[in-house]
Amino acid sequence: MHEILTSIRLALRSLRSNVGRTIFSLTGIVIGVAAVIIVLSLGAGVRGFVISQIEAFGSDVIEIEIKTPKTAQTSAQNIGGMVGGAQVTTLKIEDMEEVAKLSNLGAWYGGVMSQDITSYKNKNKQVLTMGVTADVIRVDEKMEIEFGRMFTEEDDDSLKQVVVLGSGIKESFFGKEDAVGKNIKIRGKSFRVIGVLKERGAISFFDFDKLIYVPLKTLQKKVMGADHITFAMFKVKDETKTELTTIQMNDVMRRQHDIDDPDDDDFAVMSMAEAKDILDQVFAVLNILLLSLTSISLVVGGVGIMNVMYVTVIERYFEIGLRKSVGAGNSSILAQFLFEAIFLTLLGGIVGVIAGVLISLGAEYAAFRMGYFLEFKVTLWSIVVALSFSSLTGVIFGIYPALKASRLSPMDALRKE
Amino acid sequence: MRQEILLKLKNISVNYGGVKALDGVDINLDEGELVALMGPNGAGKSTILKAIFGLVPIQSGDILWHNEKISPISYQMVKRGVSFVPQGRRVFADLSIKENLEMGGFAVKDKRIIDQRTKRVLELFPDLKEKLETKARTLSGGQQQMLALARGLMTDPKVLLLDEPSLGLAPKIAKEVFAKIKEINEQHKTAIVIVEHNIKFLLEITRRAYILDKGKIVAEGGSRKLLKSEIIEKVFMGKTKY
Repeated sequence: MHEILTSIRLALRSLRSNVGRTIFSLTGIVIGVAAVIIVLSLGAGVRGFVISQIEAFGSDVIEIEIKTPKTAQTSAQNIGGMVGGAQVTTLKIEDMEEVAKLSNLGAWYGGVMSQDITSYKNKNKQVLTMGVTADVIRVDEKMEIEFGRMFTEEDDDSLKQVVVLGSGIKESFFGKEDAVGKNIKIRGKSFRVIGVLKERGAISFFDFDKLIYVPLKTLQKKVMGADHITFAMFKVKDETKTELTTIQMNDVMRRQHDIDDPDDDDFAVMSMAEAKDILDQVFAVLNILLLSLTSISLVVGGVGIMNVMYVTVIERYFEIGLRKSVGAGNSSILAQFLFEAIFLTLLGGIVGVIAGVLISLGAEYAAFRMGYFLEFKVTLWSIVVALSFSSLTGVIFGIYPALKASRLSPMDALRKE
Repeated sequence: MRQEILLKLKNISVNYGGVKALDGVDINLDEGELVALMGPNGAGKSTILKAIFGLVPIQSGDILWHNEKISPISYQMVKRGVSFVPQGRRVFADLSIKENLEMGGFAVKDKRIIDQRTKRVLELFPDLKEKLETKARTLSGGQQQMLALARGLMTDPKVLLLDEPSLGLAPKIAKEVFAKIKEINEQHKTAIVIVEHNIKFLLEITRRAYILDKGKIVAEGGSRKLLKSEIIEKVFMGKTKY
């Protein structure tokens, strides 16, 4: 213990007495550790952001969407098709009515999206119109009416040409003016504004406030000339049975579409919990990849430490000899120089963590200024990982110079000044 | 009455890369004895100290400690009770006087004993006591040498090996250093082997000496007797033929 304490004290003393060299040798490690912290906090931040976006739909929701047969079932792959109209047109509202009979499913709505030229007076806009069934407001809890009312099932059944505007679209067309009761045109057809939604914000690049909601059948028959839908959202009554319900929904859909082989599915059923799991896996892989890349900078920093320690040993031949002359064994000399390397990298690690945290906070602020609520979480885990990495770098790259010091012939050491 | 032989070198030879530094050297050191090793530069004086302390490998011969054959390794020699003060006022320049003394007691594991020894050593070196927290690099040459001596005493050694303690010191300071060495020997009964080129000082404090030349012992005996003998002149003037 006494030997270790002496080695630690000498190592710290050496670092203190060569402040300039200590700072320069730290730089590589500081950059490496800061990179690790930034990558981990960025990963955690983006993951948190994406997950929160998914949760915005509610974790108790299962979605059925169109899918091109024999492709993977992700929303991202289908979104282009859903909006652009490249199409699987086999998904019908009747299928959804059949699915909705499952006992664990509650409120639901089906929908189709279309991009249409919309105008008010002399203002024209390409707008995303959502044809949805009236229960959308019961399923999508974030959807709230600010002015007027939501359309009803009767409005839908009677193909009424009414719309509910997102707050952003309302602002673009009407400004401060009251929109309810006024008429807009979609593909040249007149629609009466019956409601305006409260401001809601965007999920990634999907801005809810720029949507126009139209009764599903009205959009299908009077605008699109189609009878298919592209997605439907179902509320789950008992979340613990979500997995089973998903399987049952698949069964109903395959029966409806007369499908035997799951590869031929022209639909995808995905619970939000499942989507979260998939994202977690993606982020875990991404984290490993990014950590591998940033660890290269730690290796470079480690080589820098090795250089500095090597020079330090040569500079301190005399001290090493003197220590041996007062009874220090090879292990004590090894410990002294190894501790010095570890302290050097640990100090670099601490400074790197501080730098990483500050940069993460700066990035969070910059994202906020650009309108994104990204929380770059610097977790305790990331700090432990970064400091462990940096200390390990100290051990790996400090061992060779320390071994050289410990094996130095005392005769040579005492001869040199 | 003759003291017990503490340390004995029998027929020791040491090579430095093919060059013979010591060639069949025999030396005895009794308990509490103060012995001088004299000779011109390159005679092998310092090598003897380093061989005893395990800092250079021995090619042949035996080293006996209390009549028992040993293979010296520096940290083990410290534990046996041998302390080495190398040439050139070697101190830990960035450490304070107190820390230098603690480093001297590195082999002592017990902090209380280190504190007791520090106190005792400082009684012998009152000048150092006043500057305990002063960094060694700021001390004068004489003070650094005193510190090196003091550090050597921290293990409470039975044998102190001193390599040219007056090197680079002004004569007045060197005299003080030698007086202190004598005091250590007489008060603490510490056996001392001292390598020194300053014959005058050396013979004032030692009673027995070995004269070396070209790695061999060429004379041995009472210091005063040796001083009067022709061998001194021969050795230092390079007139020897072996």
